[in-house]
Amino acid sequence: MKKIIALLLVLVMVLAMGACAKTEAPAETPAEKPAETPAEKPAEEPAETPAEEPAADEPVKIMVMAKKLADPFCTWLMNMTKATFEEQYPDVEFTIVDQNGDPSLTESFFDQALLEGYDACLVQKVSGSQDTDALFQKFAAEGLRTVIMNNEVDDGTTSSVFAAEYAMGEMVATYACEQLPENAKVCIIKSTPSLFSSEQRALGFTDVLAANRPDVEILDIKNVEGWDKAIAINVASDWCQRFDQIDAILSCNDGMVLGAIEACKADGRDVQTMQFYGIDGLADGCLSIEAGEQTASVLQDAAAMAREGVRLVMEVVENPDMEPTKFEITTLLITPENIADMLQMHRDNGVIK
Amino acid sequence: MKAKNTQSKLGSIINQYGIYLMFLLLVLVSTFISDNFLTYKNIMSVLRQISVTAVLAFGMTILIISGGVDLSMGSVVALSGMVGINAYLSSGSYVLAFVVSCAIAMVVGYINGILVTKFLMPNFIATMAMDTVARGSVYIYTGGSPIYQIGELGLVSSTYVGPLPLPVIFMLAVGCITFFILKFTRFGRSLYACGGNKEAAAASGINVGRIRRMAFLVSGFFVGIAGILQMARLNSGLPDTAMNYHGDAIASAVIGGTSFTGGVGSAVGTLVGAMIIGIISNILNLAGVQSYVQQVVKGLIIIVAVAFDLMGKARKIKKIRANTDEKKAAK
Repeated sequence: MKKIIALLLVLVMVLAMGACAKTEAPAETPAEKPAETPAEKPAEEPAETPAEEPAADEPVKIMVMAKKLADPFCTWLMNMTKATFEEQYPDVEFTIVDQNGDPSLTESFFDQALLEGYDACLVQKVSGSQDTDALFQKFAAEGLRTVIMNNEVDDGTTSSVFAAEYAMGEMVATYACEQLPENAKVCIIKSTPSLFSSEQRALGFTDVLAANRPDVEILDIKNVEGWDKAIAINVASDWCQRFDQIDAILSCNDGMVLGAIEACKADGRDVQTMQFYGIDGLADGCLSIEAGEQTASVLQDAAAMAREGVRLVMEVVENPDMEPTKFEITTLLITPENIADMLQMHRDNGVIK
Repeated sequence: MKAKNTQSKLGSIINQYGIYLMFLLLVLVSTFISDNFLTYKNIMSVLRQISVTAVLAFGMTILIISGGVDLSMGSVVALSGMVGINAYLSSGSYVLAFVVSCAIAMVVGYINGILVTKFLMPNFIATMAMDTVARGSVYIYTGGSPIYQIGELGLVSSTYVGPLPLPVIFMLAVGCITFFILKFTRFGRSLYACGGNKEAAAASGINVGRIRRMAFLVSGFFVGIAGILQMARLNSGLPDTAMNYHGDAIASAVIGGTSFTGGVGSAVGTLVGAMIIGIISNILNLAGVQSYVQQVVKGLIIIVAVAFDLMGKARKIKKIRANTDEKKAAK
């Protein structure tokens, strides 16, 4: 019995060593990579190829880093990114990895991308306040260029495609200013403190309300950890007990305002007469606008963001020395007037039936 | 001598009823802080807010009493709830949604039990690994996407039966089941025995492994109920929901007097523990205090509760030793 176990262990060790030898080779001599896919390329050819340049018909490899795949907007963005690659660049090999909301994972994924010979990275940062300038510059110097989706970056090497966070807050608040009754009392829900997108959107709300509707009273502003809808329900439930009159709730995303709507319903308030504003234009937000519960949202178009992100990253692969560019996607106010188009868009994307 | 006796009695009362006194004190203080606190609407609001956590806490109480713990509860809530939603959407049956959700959570619970009792894995490791497995499974199952249209399943959260919201009725029902199990069944007594002294329980003929697996099964049943309650409350299926809910469940049980070393605890104490956590969040919100202060307060209360528990135990051990020494000296 002991002999059999010993033999098995030796066999496992040999196989493991063999596997290690195979995986380590491409990092040092990238040109040897195609040898692993003999069907596509003759075995001798890669040895001739200079180590610095990929072979002509070697597939382009892109690593896509998602912020957190369980986040509804992130899921939407990644689904659109996948669809764009598959439709427009079917020969490109792309891998979607999940940073799971943990900024410390970003660098590990870059190391992995460099080791495994990826040509470029398409990254959705974990947070806009995550300082990645040095990181992107370091990997760019090593030949791994990055394109950022969903955040603006200004580090001199990285291209980015984004929707302006402050402007989205401004946009929905401007519409709210037109809709709110005189001397309205409102509450604001933000996400985790110091989170760039949440802070900027909330700043957009408060600036516009202060400038255009000084009669509006902000009753309370509360943070909800991690955009959590369940916590938003609790926060809004307690607001319902604390304030007899709440005319509107403005939230930094759709998910949290939908939680607030559930809380107000449970409290017996008439959500059809109250006003609820969110951001993102997610499918559930649009369904709620159609049902007359949520008042408005702002479309942060994940499809357009993915399209431009993929285009930029492919440009970077074609021309690694290209100057970094910024692309701001157009946002759109979603109201009952254009809700049918928005719902159709989500149906076309297969998000809802 | 008399003063010492009075002090000892007082200590014993605080040990036994300290948590209820703390609860009453909290209610009293909260009533002074906010006029809205002691109203029917606010009490119902607090009870609705704690309903999912309390259901989980009852399961956790059973586990902790038996000497176990389950760190996978939150993820299993998400997994069983998402599958339960789909069962509801394909059949239109609320009962089927609950049955499917409970079945999944019980299977996961039983696997936890097997890992702990058959493979002798530490509770923390086995259930922490299961937490990852369950969360990953729910993402695979849903592709990370939420279920936006859950039909009429949301009614499970919004319906009232008489003056009570349905989730509160579920919470009280699960509480009654836990109370009955712990107080009136042989299984309940075995749970205390296993958690109090595993070796002594085994020596007295109790199948410790089987009892602990059963504890995981019962707890899984409660987790399945919590899965549907959570999704109904959200009125949508969110695969990333209920993150770290096991923390609140443990906190409720421990604050309610369940000893983390096993063998001690009660359903009523756990309900009170869950209500204390709910009331703290509620009153701080009513008073306009930022939510991060609530986390600090919650953490401090757990520290105090556990410290009380350990100090009480230390006092008991000291007393037993002193009595033994006195008897020896008398001999």
